[in-house]
Amino acid sequence: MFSVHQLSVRARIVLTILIGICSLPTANAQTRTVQERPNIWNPQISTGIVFLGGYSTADEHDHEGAHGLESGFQLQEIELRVESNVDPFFRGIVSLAGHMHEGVMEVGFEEAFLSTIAIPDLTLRAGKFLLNFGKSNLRHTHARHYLSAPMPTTALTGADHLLGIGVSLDYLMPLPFYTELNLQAVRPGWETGHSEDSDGHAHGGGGDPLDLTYVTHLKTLFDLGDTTTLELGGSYMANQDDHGHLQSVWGVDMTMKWVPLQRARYETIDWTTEYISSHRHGVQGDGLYTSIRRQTAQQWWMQLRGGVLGLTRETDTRRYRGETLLAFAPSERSAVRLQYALETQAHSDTTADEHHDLVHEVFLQFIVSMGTHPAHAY
Amino acid sequence: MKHIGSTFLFLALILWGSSTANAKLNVVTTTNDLADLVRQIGGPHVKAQSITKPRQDPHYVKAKPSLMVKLRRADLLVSIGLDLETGWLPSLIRGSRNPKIRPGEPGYLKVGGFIKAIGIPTAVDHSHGHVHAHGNPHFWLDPVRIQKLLSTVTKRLMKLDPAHAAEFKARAAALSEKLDAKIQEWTQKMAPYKGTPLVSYHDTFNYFYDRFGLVGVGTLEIKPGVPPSPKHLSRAIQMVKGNDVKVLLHEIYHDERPSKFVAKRTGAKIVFLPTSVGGVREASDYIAFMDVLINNIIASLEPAKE
Repeated sequence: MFSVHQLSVRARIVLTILIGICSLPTANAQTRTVQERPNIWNPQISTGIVFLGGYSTADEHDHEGAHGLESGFQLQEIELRVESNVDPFFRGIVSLAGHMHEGVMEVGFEEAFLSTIAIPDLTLRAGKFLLNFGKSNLRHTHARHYLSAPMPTTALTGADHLLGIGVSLDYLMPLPFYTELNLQAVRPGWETGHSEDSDGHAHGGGGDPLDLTYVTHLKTLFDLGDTTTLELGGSYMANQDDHGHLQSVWGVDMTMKWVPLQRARYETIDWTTEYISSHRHGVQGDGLYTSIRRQTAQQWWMQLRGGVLGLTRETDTRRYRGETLLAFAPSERSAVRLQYALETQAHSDTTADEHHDLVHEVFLQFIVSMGTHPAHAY
Repeated sequence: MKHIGSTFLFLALILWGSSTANAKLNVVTTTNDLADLVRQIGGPHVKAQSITKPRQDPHYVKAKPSLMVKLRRADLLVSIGLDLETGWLPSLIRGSRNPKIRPGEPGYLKVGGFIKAIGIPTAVDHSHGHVHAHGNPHFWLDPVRIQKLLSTVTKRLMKLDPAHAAEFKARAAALSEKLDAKIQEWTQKMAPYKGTPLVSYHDTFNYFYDRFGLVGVGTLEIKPGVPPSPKHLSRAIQMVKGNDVKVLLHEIYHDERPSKFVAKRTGAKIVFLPTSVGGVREASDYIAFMDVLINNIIASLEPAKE
């Protein structure tokens, strides 16, 4: 990761590549009658912008509330994604992403990996990818159900997005219902989302590059009739901290989804609940959130999420966050979302007199995606 | 003891899961119409099942992981193509981890590439809504195109199961003959309605119009996949009145309100139509489905003709 201020030459190169690649799909569309089409071998290209604007009453100097959204305008994400089958055996994906963090645009390769496509039941990945921990981490910023990741997840794992460099193996188990077992081993440290420092080293890992971080994820899904599915998941992530002690985070999640067959385009309901427990050097504690999303018409969604940090085992302080969101998606390629959030923020300046302040946030977000048809995850 | 029992159950489930591979060719199709054709050609040597349910909109299928399980052991995947399934099929294929049904493999058959498509846009741009760059994908509502596709499907089955090639060929020939007679019957039945103007919710019936000489005046959707705004509905009312449209065709999985709104203000009649085999109980196979479609449309036009 680097900032535009510090390394404008690199930023300019990245920008030139970005503009160059972005102009290709249009050229492709206009040369339909031209016999020679050297660009038919180009990989699939998609790009997206997530713009955010709003106001938060959080005290900017108080880093206790750092998981909330920052007041003002920001580009939450600019992503350029290129993917293609490499040959009959591999598929490759490279994504370049820019995120704004404390007013500075950070640009870097978010994902870059190859995965096998010729092995039945198994997929092996190598490169840089999102860690398969919990229910929400595999969603990119533009695909998140709310404007930010669930508060307990971010607080307990210590990162906005968990990313790692290493290998991943997932296995679709030979059972009559969907059961996927995923094992991942990545370089030390998992806080490689936004908190990765400029050298590419992650925080929280041991000094030895062989002290890997391991992630295990089991996901099952059952059809309860034609319209309803029940998904159960469990994940565990562990590594060694700077002092060689084992630190781990585990979580369980449950999602029920209702999609009426004939009206799948007009109404859906899903309900997700996730519990996470952290046993890390810095953060001990647990948290839970639950979210209901109701699609009320082809283009409209109404959502509600509530989370608590320090449910049974106290972290530093117990914290609550509630969010309500209204989304209008004119097409599957664009969306406008309005979110109001209420969060309790702890002040522990004087240890004897700890009190909570309420933080209000109102934000409006615009999402667009261009290029190859977006794949819809279930 | 309890522990041993659950271990045993687990092993039994694994064995059950892996023993699904048997002598029958396991074919998964994206729509029920394709499943019916495969079943009729393949007979007892083929097990065919459709991913979409008969009353479901094939454009908007959720890529449920349980559907990946359905595809995991498939020998052949038959899809419509022309971008109909583009929003969900690629992630199902990838999620199934089944190399046999990947695009380009013998186990992958996209029939849309074998027909002459209509409605190929002159400009491909997303500002035109959910456009199908290669043409309108609803060709299964044209029985002549379906008849021509029989040989494509048969050849693929023969390739994957050469032992029963002769049988597949004979069954396809018998079905083609049956279709010959029915196409003649349907054409005669529809002949008196040549030139009738019709409006539908989505551009589902364009191939059907072309085959039977009907005139599709327009759709209630602004652009494919974009629901009508009040402004567009008032324009649709003008379109229905101006072209003397007496009947609105409505696909059973679309929102009924826009059609009802326009019908109420123009006096046009709505006819609710299935778009797939099995969409209504009588539509038990492809021929029965076309019978339902044609009989319903004729019934709705009958009094309007007077």
